[in-house]
Amino acid sequence: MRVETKSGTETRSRTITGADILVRSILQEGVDVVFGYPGGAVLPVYDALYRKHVRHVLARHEQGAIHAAEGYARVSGKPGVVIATSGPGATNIVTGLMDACIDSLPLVVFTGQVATRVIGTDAFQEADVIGITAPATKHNFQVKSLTDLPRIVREAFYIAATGRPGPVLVDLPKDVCAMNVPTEPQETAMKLPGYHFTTKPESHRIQTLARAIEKAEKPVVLAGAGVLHAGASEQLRSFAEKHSLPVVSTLLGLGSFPASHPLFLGMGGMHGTYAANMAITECDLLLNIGSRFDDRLTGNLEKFAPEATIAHVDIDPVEIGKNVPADIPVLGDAAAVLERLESETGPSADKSKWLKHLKAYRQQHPLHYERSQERGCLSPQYVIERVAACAGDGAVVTTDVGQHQMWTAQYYRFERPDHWVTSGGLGTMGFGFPAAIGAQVAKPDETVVAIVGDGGFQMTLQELAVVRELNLPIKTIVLNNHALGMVRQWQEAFYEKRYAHSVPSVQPDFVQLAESYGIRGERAATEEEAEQVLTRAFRTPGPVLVDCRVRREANVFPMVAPGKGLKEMTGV
Amino acid sequence: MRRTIHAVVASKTSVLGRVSAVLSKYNLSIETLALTRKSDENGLSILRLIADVENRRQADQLIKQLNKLIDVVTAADVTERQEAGENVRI
Repeated sequence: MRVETKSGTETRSRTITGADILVRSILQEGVDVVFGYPGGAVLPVYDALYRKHVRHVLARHEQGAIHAAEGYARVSGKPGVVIATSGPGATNIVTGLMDACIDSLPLVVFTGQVATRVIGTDAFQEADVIGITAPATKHNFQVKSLTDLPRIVREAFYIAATGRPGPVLVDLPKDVCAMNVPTEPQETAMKLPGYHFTTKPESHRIQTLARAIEKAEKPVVLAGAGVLHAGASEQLRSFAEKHSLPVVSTLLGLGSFPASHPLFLGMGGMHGTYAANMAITECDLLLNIGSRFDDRLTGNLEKFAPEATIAHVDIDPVEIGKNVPADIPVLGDAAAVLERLESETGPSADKSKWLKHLKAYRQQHPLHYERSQERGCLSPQYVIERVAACAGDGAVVTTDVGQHQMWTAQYYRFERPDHWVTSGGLGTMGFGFPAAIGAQVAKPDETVVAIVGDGGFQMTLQELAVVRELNLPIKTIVLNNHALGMVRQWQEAFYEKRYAHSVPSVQPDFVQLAESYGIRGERAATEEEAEQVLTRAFRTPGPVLVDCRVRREANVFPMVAPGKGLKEMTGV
Repeated sequence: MRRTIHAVVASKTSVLGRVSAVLSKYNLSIETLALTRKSDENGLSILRLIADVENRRQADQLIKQLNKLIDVVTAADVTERQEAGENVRI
């Protein structure tokens, strides 16, 4: 390729483009794959990626790209990188940004932008991406000068991955990327005077917390995603065992403590176990490590842990005291706090009576469901248990949002950290399937299972093409109840069974749909079929989709209805 | 309750939008606002605003959220100091 210059014609190899500098900066951050979708404003970036042979996963919709990057980030611990074009490309990623923001996933997202000279003129495919995404990102930048580009890329990766992780967006005007310069701009140091985070807790807070743990007779630990982000699962297990602390997990914290451990009480909250919710209600010390005290976890705040001293360990000062006032606020990273607690906490009170009491709750009110007696449809909880048995406890599991998500949280029984990928805070339908793509890209040798409902799957199933293209051996389990199950459940419970638009009249044949993408499709409608089909699916090397016909009337229980306290559970 | 908030912020085009987005998240309107570039500092401005918040807890949350913004170097609620007649500098 040749370019005209003032001095005549010279080869492009003697100059570099802004996009080359961008790609070089990204590679310097250790990025091994980017998820994206090309378009006009990012053509210079795609040209540079192409020339540098950077691994790029071509999603079939930008939402698919960003959820894949989230799945990648969740299981790898590294920032997921996304590239989208300007205007609609950028607006299509907003849901994923908000999802990653609320669930603390590190992403660095590059969006194309129209050229600087036309910004503000409503040019073709122009959108105010900085304005639109400011509340949905940890931070965002628009690169106005090529000189700033390497520093901004470094700052973006640093901000995304440190403190409370989150998504950072870098908006790239096309002329900045297309610009030719003779040499790379000089490296300049990061300039972030307003970016602070605290990992090491203050000593006096640790002392207060250690004394509270020593004297508590009815303590409970609430383990949130912060434990996983800090890589503190092993520390948590050792500390809980040392002081006989029963552990409740949040939805996103599942896997931070082994499900089979005798001190584990299960998930708490709206669809939590009886033992978990009663432990929170009756405890005298609630030690929250890395949970936001989300409303789905707390239920009615006035009835939440009414007897307890509340200790809240969080890396984000905004979360401490936001929903539940903290008696012992501890700002810091879960690993750093547990390390200090380990050395500072002396012998603690006897808890044998408390543990016996909780054990009785577990035995008297375990999770339970009825096997389907109907011909031609399965109990969804049974399917989850069979999938767990077939996949083994080393599998990475992603879900969408709704009933199937809650059943997976209840019945899958996660033993290991970082093998559970779900959309918690934002509750994004359409998340699970593309997230599995990112997880499988990050962990090519592990079994990855996408458990989705028929509703959410239809929001992002175009990504089947990516699974086929990369031959990703994802096992996609569709819990097909031919309904928007959770919506239907709430309509049954709270709207006198008026099923407004929750039971569509038309559904695709998911088996044929998979086959049309060249992916093996299977169907199971009886327990015998489920057993055979699931066993076969997990023995098949490539991708498989299993359409599991499940009871439409099955509901998620136990349930704490909105506005109720955690001990006011139905379906126990 | 009316709270007076002072902040040191980066002198960037988007900073006012970021600050007002935080207030908008709490459905708060700004009663008074002034943004002045500091002459003695490199690329920093002083932002002073008065907002009517619901209670002390919301005021605390607001300050935490403002401090979380990467373009805000520091933010503080100076209401009491100002009422005590102090010439507030942050």
